[in-house]
Amino acid sequence: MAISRRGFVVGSTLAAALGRRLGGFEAVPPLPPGAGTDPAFLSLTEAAALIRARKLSPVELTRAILDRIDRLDGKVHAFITVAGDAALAAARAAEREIAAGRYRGPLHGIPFGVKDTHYTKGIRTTANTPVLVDFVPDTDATVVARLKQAGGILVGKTHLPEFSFGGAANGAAFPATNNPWDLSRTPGGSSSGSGAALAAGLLTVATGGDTSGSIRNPATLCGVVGMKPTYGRVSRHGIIVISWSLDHVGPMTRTVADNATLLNVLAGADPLDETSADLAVPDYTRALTRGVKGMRMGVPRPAMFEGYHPDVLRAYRDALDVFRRVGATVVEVDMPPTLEAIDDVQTIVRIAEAASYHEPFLAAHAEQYGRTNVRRDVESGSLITAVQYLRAQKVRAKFQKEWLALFRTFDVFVTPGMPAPAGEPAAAVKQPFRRVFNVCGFPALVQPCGFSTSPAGLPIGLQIAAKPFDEETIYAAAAAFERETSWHTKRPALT
Amino acid sequence: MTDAELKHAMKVIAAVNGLPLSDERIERDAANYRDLLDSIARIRAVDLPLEAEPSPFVALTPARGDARKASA
Repeated sequence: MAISRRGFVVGSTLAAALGRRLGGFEAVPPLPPGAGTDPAFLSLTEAAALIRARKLSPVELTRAILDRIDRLDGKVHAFITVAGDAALAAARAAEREIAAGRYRGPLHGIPFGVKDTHYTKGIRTTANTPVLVDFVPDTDATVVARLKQAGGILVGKTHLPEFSFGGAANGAAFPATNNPWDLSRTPGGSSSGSGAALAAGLLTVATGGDTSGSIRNPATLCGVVGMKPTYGRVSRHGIIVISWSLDHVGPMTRTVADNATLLNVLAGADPLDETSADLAVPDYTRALTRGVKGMRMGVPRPAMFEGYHPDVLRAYRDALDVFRRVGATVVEVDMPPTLEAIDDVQTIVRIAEAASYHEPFLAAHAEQYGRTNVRRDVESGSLITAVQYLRAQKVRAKFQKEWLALFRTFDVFVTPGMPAPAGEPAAAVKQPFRRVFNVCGFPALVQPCGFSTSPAGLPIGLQIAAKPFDEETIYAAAAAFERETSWHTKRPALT
Repeated sequence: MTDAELKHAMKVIAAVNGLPLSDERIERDAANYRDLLDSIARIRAVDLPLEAEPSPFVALTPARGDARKASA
């Protein structure tokens, strides 16, 4: 199996695919409005419907994705590894199965990518660090296994900063990812490649990891949908660790419906992950049509948004107006005082746990770290004492109780996704409302809610959070917003 | 704490932890370690009762299969 950044046969063009009949599949029909002229921009929902009806071949869809990667990823750097040959082989197998009447479900024949922290059997898993650049796992992470079992086509491993530390940056094993909306700007991190690939039409769906906002940051800055589910909702088995108690894995997509569909596949108890929750998984797509009539939405008082970019605040206010118009009630709520210390709690818990995970790397491979701050951070984290770490965990427990009490006063909590558009300074922000959801473990999703005007054309995101294991209410609200707006249909002008 | 005291403390704690840090690494890491100590100071400012317990790492639920055994 050939595996490399360019290790695939360049697929036929869409034009060549048109009019072709293969494997019992009809020619590609006129594409749905959201797809433009390229099947690579089909949503999961659209592509699945076409594949199920045998009007779109998984092979042609995969080839369209690979062709686009070949043309554009030299600019975006969304991938560390593209498994083109293996993807085409899996697509052919999916095509045969579906043609034989063995359709597995909405992921069957759909190209997906996973962050390069996810173990992939037989495919290198580098975490973008020279320390692991030759690491080839002999098993799949649970989420990868679930996606394959659902019939998904693994196209490649998406980019991240070294060991998932921080935002996109150079100095690691591979060059940093660029934002498809403006290649000179950051796509956010750490699930940079997944966010950028979705925005650029280089994947149909993807996964990310979120310890400090690392699904939600790139989803916001790239204009896509990212869900950090409740801690325990999705298995972390086979994921390279930053911090056991803060790490989350979740779906990244271009639409809310796709996100709910993907979480259906990813979620569920895993005997290989002791922290996974032994709770039934609902069909999240059933929440998509609930609407928000009568829904109570909590929002922070305006003073909490001190330092936020004016375009972000404008888009946020507009989004709240959309919710009011379709029947939600928006109420300002006071934040618990412990919130002020929560980013510090997250820092100490994260870096102390990271230092523990990195202990063997520091002992044996310290000189192999990239030219980033990771080694500095984990060495410093190694000096945190047990008493200091446990003090942070005590404050975390106090905060979790306060936050749960607050969240009982509304159905969802709504904030901007990020304080500023990609690469724009956010001066002295009081509270960015990102790490807080890693500390408490509550679910939070971001979705596109507008574009900046100064500078022009950069995506702005909206964050919707809820009580533990209430992802359904988040999807109900997010889907209602998406029905009323068209931000999710915008595409970067990338050629 | 002065810079010299901080760097001395780093060296000692690192050695106790089995992670000997060179003087060069201490120089590189010192500002970041001071930032962590500042975070810890802000965390200490949060009032906690004596009975406060740390957040559980794993929330225990009945082991899979135990419910069936219990009801048998």
